[in-house]
Amino acid sequence: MKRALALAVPLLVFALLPLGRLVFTGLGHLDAIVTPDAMRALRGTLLTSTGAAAFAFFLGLPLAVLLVRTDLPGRRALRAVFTLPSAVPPFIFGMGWVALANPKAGLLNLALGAGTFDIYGTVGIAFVLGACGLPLVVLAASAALERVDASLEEAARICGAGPLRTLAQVSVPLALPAALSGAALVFLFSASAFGVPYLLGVTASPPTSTLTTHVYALVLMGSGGIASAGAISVLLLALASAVLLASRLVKSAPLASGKGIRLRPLALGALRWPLGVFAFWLALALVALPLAAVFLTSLEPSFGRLEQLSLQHWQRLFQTPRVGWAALRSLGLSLAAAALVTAIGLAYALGRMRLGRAGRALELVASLPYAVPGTVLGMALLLSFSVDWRVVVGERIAFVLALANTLWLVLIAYVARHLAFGTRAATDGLTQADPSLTEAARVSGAGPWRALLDATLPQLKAPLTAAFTLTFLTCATELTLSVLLVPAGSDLLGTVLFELMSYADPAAASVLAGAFVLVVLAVQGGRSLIRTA
Amino acid sequence: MTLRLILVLSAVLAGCRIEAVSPQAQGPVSQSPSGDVWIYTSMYRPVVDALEPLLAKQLPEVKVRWYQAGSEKVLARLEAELAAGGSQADVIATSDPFLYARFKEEGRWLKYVSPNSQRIPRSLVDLDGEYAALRVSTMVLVTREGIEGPASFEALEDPKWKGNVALGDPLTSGTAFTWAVFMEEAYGAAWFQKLRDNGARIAGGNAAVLQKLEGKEADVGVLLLENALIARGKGSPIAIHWPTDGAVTIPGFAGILKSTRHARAAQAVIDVLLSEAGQAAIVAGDMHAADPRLAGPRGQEGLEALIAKARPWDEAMQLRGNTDGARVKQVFSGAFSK
Repeated sequence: MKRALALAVPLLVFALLPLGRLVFTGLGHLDAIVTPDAMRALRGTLLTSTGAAAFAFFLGLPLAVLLVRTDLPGRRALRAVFTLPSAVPPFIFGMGWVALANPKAGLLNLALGAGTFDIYGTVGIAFVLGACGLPLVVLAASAALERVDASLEEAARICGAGPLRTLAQVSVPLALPAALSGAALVFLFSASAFGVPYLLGVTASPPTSTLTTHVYALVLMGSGGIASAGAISVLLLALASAVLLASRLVKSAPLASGKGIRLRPLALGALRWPLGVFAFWLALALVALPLAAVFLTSLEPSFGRLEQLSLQHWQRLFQTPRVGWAALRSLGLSLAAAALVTAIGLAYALGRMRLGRAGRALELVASLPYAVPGTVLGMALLLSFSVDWRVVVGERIAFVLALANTLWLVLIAYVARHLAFGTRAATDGLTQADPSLTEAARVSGAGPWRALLDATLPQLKAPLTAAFTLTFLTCATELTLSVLLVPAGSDLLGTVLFELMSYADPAAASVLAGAFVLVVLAVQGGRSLIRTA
Repeated sequence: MTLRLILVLSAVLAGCRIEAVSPQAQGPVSQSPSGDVWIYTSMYRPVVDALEPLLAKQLPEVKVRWYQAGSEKVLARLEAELAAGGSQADVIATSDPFLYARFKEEGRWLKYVSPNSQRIPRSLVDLDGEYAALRVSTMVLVTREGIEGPASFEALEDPKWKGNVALGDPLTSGTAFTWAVFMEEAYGAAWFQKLRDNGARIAGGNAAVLQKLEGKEADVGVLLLENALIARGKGSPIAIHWPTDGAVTIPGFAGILKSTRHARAAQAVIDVLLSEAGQAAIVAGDMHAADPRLAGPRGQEGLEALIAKARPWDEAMQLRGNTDGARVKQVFSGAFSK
């Protein structure tokens, strides 16, 4: 397994060295942190991120239990719907919610009376980020719950506990560590999010400032901003480390007995339909409604104009050949990034046990690129790789690492950013897997690789698939890193989206978002068709 | 006509103070420019798409590569690359006028006066020949059709517009920042407070301001002319109002970095961008060309008329953005955070 850990070396060089360098620069400018503006931003980040994490946790954990362990009507479709937000860039949801719930002319407010909802401000940001982060909790908790032996729940039922009590006292505690881990990711995701806090924060009165929007203003609008951005990032990193360490305090119990699992759904009895209807409405409000608003926007001739709906924006977008190439490139990059993140996560999880405390430190470090704003990570990579790295050996051979302006740098950025998805999923999965199966394989004469392949990996299928899917979907429409690092002449979906948003109109951007949602829906639909066939 | 004459004359005079047109550009060029030229620009994609074939035709041996993003992102990438030890950018063409004065102070520009730059009004070129404007963007007042717009920027404090004004964010949008610098100079810091008390909302970038207007979240906004023109061209029901206290013009300068490896090629690219065909492509991209001979975009008047309708742009203003910009931002965000 030591060999597997060697995978972590390139990770350290490519992802963490640049970030470390930036942080080091920032340490010299810590006075940038103690300004009143920065403190206001810190407060904004704490409020919105805690709110989002709490929202996702308290909604996501019960939802996962209902969707995985019970006979809730339509649970498979509901599960697909609730994981959909991970496939859609958060700011698209933000756009949807602006169209729905801006205080003056939001569709909901037009229907219910002006001023019913105000999406601008701290609460709105926490709500939208929480809804976008919901899949992180639902997927993590579901992956854990899928490996729980149903006999535990049956035992509780036989002992006289009602369905709700069984869920609350048996299923929920089993999924708790994974859900907490997911919630910690939601916190990081929210603390490092930029699009939604900017979209919904800047218009609030008074404007809600977060660390990311503050860093953005520092980096993009003044000279010497890099150092201040580094300093503020130190703050974000400290925050992230605290949250990650806290989330690891909850120990997870081995879930699977490894001796064959019966996945028999728990009967909800009389509560089946009321809970089903509740979940349905929730899915409608949190996912379908904002996405429908985005689709509606893509049909409007200009934003907010409800007459003369047409497909003209769709037509225009698909007549642009650049979009097709951008989609292909993004597809390839995201697939590669997802595979790398999953592989590195697995390697790390396997090696972790042997490393002890150093292993835990490594996990923390791997989460850091996710905790800083994309702009900061992008700047860090530019700072380190704009110049070719040369190693001349024996005055004869020169090894030149020329990453600047290549898609490789974008790939590195994607992988570095989402490492946490892989390490956390694999670690959560491995701690809950039953080691006796692997031991049995080794005893029966399998080598370490054979045992890994036949005994350990199959148990990790669910969490690794979740990590792969999440990384793939997030990278496919990634915006900030793509815009900063894209090599000249090669568009990515993210850069096209950015261009449409800043040059064309929101309608054109929502077409691309809408198209992406359709593709995701088609893929998910196709997968479930294959499964049922 | 006299105005044009005066402008051309003053441009010529300004040209006299600039060093002589570079020797390479005079007479037959011995060897045609060649090599890679990287242009970092904030010009919108359609403009780049229009310029690409023109450059390919005029400079067959020059391979032009574009990095196109918002002014702020271009600056961020450039700063990071420079901090790392060097950028491969040869030509910078963004709409952040203050960057050019700062880089001049830092001695980053390669002096070059294109023979095609001699018609540009002197307020739009650097008199030391370090950079010159390719285009001019303008901040104007925009409402939806059917709304009688405010007469001036100053009138935005009128209670008539209470809760109905959308502004760009000077902290994150370069054009909004330029506007704020002008307004602060004209009406003082207290004016921002008046806007705030009148319920003005910050929208973000220009696209966000437009969206707030179209979506009826605000009745009047301060917006880039080109965004308004493009939106109108697509059938968006908005109307442009020229403020009587002067629109705010934002020169889109272009300069060549000293670190360029293909100086001759970069200069040739600037020549093409400033040529009549290059300038026409910019007008087709909904901005005013720096060449006063061309009409404005989509039936708008040309550069001189624009300058007559705008607040004066001069070097003092440009320096102000750099020396005083932080304070203006502070004043603005202070007013709005209460």
